[in-house]
Amino acid sequence: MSVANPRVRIRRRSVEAPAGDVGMWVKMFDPPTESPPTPELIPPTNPVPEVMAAAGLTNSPPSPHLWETDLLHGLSAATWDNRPGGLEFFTLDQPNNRAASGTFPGPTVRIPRGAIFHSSTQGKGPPPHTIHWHGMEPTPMNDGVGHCSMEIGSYTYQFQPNFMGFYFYHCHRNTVQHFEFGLYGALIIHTPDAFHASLNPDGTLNSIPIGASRDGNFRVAANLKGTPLARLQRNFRPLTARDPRGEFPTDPHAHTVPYDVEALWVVDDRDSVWSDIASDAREFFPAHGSTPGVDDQWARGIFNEYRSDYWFVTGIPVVPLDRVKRLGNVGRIRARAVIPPGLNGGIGANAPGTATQVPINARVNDTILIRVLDAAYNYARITFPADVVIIAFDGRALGVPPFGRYNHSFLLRAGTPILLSTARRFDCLMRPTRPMNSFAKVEFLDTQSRSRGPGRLRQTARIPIRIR
Amino acid sequence: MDVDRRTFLKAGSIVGGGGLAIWLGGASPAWRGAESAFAATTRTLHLRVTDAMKEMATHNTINPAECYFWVYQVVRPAGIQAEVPGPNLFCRAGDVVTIVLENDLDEPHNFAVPAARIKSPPVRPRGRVTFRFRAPKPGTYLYYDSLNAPVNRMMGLHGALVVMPRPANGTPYSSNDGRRNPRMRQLFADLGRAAHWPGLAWDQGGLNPGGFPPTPPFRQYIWVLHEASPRLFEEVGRAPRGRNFNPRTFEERFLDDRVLLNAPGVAPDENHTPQYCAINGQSGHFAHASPFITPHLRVGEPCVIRVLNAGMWSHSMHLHANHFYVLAVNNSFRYQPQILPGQHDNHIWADTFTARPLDCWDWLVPYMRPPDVPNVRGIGLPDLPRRSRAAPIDTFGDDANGLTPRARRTWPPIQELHMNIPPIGTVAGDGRPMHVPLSPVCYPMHDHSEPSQAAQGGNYNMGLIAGINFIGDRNIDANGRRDGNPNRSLTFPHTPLVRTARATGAAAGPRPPFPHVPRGNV
Repeated sequence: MSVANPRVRIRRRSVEAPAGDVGMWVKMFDPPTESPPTPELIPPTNPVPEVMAAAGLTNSPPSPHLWETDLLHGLSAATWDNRPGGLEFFTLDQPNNRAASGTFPGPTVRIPRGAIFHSSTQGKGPPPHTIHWHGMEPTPMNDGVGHCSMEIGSYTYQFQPNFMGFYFYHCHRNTVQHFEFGLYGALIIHTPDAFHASLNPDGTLNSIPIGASRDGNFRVAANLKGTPLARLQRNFRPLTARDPRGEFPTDPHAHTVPYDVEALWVVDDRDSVWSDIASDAREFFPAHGSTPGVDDQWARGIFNEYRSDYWFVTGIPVVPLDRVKRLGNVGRIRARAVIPPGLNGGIGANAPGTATQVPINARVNDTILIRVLDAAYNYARITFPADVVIIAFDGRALGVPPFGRYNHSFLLRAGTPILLSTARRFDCLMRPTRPMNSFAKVEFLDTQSRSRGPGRLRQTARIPIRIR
Repeated sequence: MDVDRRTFLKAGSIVGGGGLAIWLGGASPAWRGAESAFAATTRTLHLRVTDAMKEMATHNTINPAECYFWVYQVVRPAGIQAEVPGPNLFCRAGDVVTIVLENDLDEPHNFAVPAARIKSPPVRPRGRVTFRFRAPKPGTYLYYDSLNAPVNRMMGLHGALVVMPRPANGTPYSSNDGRRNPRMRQLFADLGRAAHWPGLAWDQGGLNPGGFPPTPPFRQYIWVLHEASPRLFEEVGRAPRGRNFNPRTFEERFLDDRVLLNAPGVAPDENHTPQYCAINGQSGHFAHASPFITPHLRVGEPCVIRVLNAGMWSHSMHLHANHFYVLAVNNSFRYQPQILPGQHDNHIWADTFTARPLDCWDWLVPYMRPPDVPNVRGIGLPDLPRRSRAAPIDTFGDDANGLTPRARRTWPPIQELHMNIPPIGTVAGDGRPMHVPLSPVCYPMHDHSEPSQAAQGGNYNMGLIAGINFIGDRNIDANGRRDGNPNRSLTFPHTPLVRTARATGAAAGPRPPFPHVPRGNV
């Protein structure tokens, strides 16, 4: 037995007859651009485009309740160390939104639970593209995965979010590159009465902060029973309970708790070699030979190798404390930053103190909701300087019946690390009882390793937390 | 006839998986569907450690995409095609299994189930040993060659051992585990019984009208994850006879070799890092299109997926269409301290989870209607779908008159099920039709640690990918209304007429010509 003369030959399955998979095979990696009508179309009811227009952040939507997304656009951004050529990003924008004209990450999409969401989506620049609403679970055309349905062109995605929580969206075309280069944004599902509550019948804004529920509180799905924060929980009615005001099919506040401050931590990394060698959105695409499915040829690429050397938290660069670029170094993000309302579903526009934070600046006894997404191809290991209660993973609140009968919220003590791999999320609540001037630690680690655990520590990022 | 779960009380399982499944429990398990569930039934398994050249995912005629492997080849029972990984082995707790292991190669090899402290003696080159083991407690185990770690395992000498409880108790675990983990037990008790989980229990089968095969009970699939480096594996194969390849050198090259860039416009040279990432030895289209890797089930037919990471990369596996419950990790309900610190019997409902090297973990996919399809209350419960009056769709339709029907409700998605993308009439340069029907409904599972999606570092979608496909719905009629009869079901058009939770021939090699029913019954 030898390499030259192995005992066994294992043949590749043919996609030709009798399997007859040639169409599926070609579609899997080089599908044509399509712009089909949305099947099973029903009228949208998402109030957020109207809220943003009323806040003066956007023009009125071209048709009622229509969200719009454009991709892709390019952005060449300088790095903290003025790397020659900077870093190339791919960005999403919104035609009617001045703030959303190509940012990294893309604008945060916020929708009340139960609303019918429509996103009119245009693929521009080097097509095709898709949008996958990660964690949303609609029919395949609205799920936005090319080989399972189609790549666009243009299309109106339709779904109705059924579970409050933290999700994200990204282009699912050549995801290895398009997600890495920035074609993504956060997606957050609110209480059913949020956004509706801030609009008067005449379409103007009232004083309820944008994103808050009709009782004026920001609310998040949770069951805190058995945790140190159990006393925050007042309304424990079942999800199926009737709305006491009769405005929604069910009680919009069932199984939610109020919070004072929201922080969004999207941790990400970049390999600058990819930016240099593969800055074309069609890099390493296959080229058809003369016979589809037989002579499909693709160039050998570099996307199987990943060595991060720049890191970000919600688009804010991580800068080494000693300003030296070195594997294993420790850096931080700046101490103050909030997400502009125009990139955040309008949150903060009519109540500046409610804007979503990245570094945390809050007061003693505030209930702080921290939403964490690992958008890096590295592992992210997160350590908090204070106790937190983990209330949800991946947009599913722990312990909320009926589907949460099999799990429960839990206390994560200060100093105990929790590990996320790419695309995993959690939501947690922190309620500091003492002033604090500290930071959370995010360690970026390789996914390849000699052991069962994560691999080499590539960088540590500090996210400031200041409690007055 | 109701295929009642009582019928299967003595049963171990009906199996899925991409490779061949072998039942090691002696006499063929006596329950419906078992006749086709396993490629072979035996108490004595004769394996040969040998080598193979395998064609990986590509159709690039200027690049044969071959990779050299070492394999556990099944000698007896006869007639089983060699594959990487080795065969899926199934037995029940306490079964005594005999393995005859012979070694065709130039260095010592073994067969071990380290998580169960089972290990054969080393077999010298050209040697043979016979050894027995008693199957450990029910769960998911990686078997592999533990010598010269990690080289022999990474070269392809690995596979899945699934141990089912004896007697069956409605869960994949022992009744002791059920007592100690009441939330896990409650989950299995609720499937098919609680109002939020209409359909079949996990251990319950059902009949399907329209000539479709019955849905088997104990639906389960195996996903063995692995990464392959053609250049490094060939170097191991060319090592001097009788000398082990240095495992530290192997690790360094596999994990940390740097890409070798050429002049602009010239493809980089192949290095020693993995060029292919596979599930059950298959990548991209070849895994997602296989009903033996990708479950093809109806709404209301929950299944268990067992994920075993035989490689050296962590994978962050994201399932579309349904969140899944994380059951046991490494057959423990205490989980991994860093991923769910301090937690026990706390089954998160996640869309992405972490498979670290050598981890074995189990998912429960509820196979609920994708919950963000618009419905009456919008709270995730199996409500009536929203009414829809959308106009007929012409260009993409596949009806006889070229128009899909007017939509009635958002589910079943009748317009979408009758669309083709690309549309009918799309042909290749040689005139072959290239249209693809959107039914049955297709969703991917992929590693979101995306470098694993790039075969040979380039083309996306030829990597570590599978999926879950929906071939129908057993909870509703064509108008979207609830139907509680477990022996009635909707089957979507173009569903392959194959018993999907069943073992089959090798995942590689010619694909069986699955007959399709063009219309289904919606």
